[in-house]
Amino acid sequence: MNLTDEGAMIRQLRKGDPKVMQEVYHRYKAEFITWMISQYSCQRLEALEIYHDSLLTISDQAKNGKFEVLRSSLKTYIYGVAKNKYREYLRKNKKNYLRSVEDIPDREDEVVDLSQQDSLDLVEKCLESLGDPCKSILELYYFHEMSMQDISEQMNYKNRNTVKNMKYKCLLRLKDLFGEEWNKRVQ
Amino acid sequence: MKETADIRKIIDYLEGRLTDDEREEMEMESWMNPKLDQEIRTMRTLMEGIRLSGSKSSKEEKIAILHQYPHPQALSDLAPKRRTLTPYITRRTIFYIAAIAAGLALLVSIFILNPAPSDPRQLYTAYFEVSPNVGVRNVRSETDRPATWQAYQAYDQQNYELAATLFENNLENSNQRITDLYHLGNCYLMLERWEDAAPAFTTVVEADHLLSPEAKWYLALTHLQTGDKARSQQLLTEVQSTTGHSKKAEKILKKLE
Repeated sequence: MNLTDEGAMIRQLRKGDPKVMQEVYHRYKAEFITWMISQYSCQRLEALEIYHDSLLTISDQAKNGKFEVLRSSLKTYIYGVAKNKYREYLRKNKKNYLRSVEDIPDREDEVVDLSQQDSLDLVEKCLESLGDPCKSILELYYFHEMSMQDISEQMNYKNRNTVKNMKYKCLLRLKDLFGEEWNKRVQ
Repeated sequence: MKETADIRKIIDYLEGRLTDDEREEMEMESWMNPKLDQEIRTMRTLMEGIRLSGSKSSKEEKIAILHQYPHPQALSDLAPKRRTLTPYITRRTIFYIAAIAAGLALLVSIFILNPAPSDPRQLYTAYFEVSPNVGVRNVRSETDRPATWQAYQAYDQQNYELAATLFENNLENSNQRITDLYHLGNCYLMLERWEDAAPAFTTVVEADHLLSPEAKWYLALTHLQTGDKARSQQLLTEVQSTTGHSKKAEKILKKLE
């Protein structure tokens, strides 16, 4: 499907046609990600998440009949939704970067959810629980950016694949621990 | 696709080892498949959490720990039996108590021994805190704009002199980027280059950018430091109604009266 006419695309969107959403997805993705990175200096993966979340919102709006009148082009509309998503993302995920402690709302006003900062704290806690050598291997690889080869040499392993496998297993165990702890918190 | 294959592919994706076509396919699939999307986000959080944890100890310390594990071992022995989380919590608790005590001591010294500073420069010292990095953060697969990346790494490492030089070079060689200017302004404040900080923050304020309200707060502080009380008061009055620094702005304004 190649809907070159934006009007036709919007009409199909309102009908909830999933193929049109795919068309929209491909049409604006690359340009959107470039724009987000240059505008907000965010990571590519963050930009992609915002893009996905924005299109899902628009898809839901279309399905629920809330996507009635567009006063702007579809592209402008997507970017507008994305700006709000990014503000929300910054508010929840960026360690309260843009807010001072004084302005954190009263307890009763708080939305009870686990923010990204809570998640990162939880990962740290799970890493402690996981212990060494897993913790050190993962930190040397992901933070200190040591290669598998260099880590293998430090551990006197001849085959870097041994450490690669260890790193993979460690990551899976960390994921399990994180899942368990996460479930405890949200229950 | 089996779950383990999925996880391996997700790791390869996040670490930038997929081809462009594979990456496109993965991203499209994740958009259509909420479970896969969630898996990717979880793995990304884990990697980010590991980086955060890794930043708290040196490479040498980690390598020394690895030297305690010199012989290949069964993978089942890889991670020791899960330790109770109590020691971690206890250490953290002790750390927090120490931090609170230090904070109280600081408050005593600021507000009791030296009550209510009203000199603009004293107010600057009392209220200035360098902004955290709200730009690029550590991601292994990040390959675009490596020079900017280095600048933010230096900023994270509190090497403000190097960060300022890198930001300046980047801004000379490319279009002026507001987020970079905002961090450059903070570098200047840390380096006590007040005269350079003011124009950097002014540009950010005038750009109508997401960081403009934050830049206004730092510009107000800069003017406090340079003794331009009137300009600082004007900016703080605006900050009062717009940003997360409103209560601090209100307090400074009262002390300036």
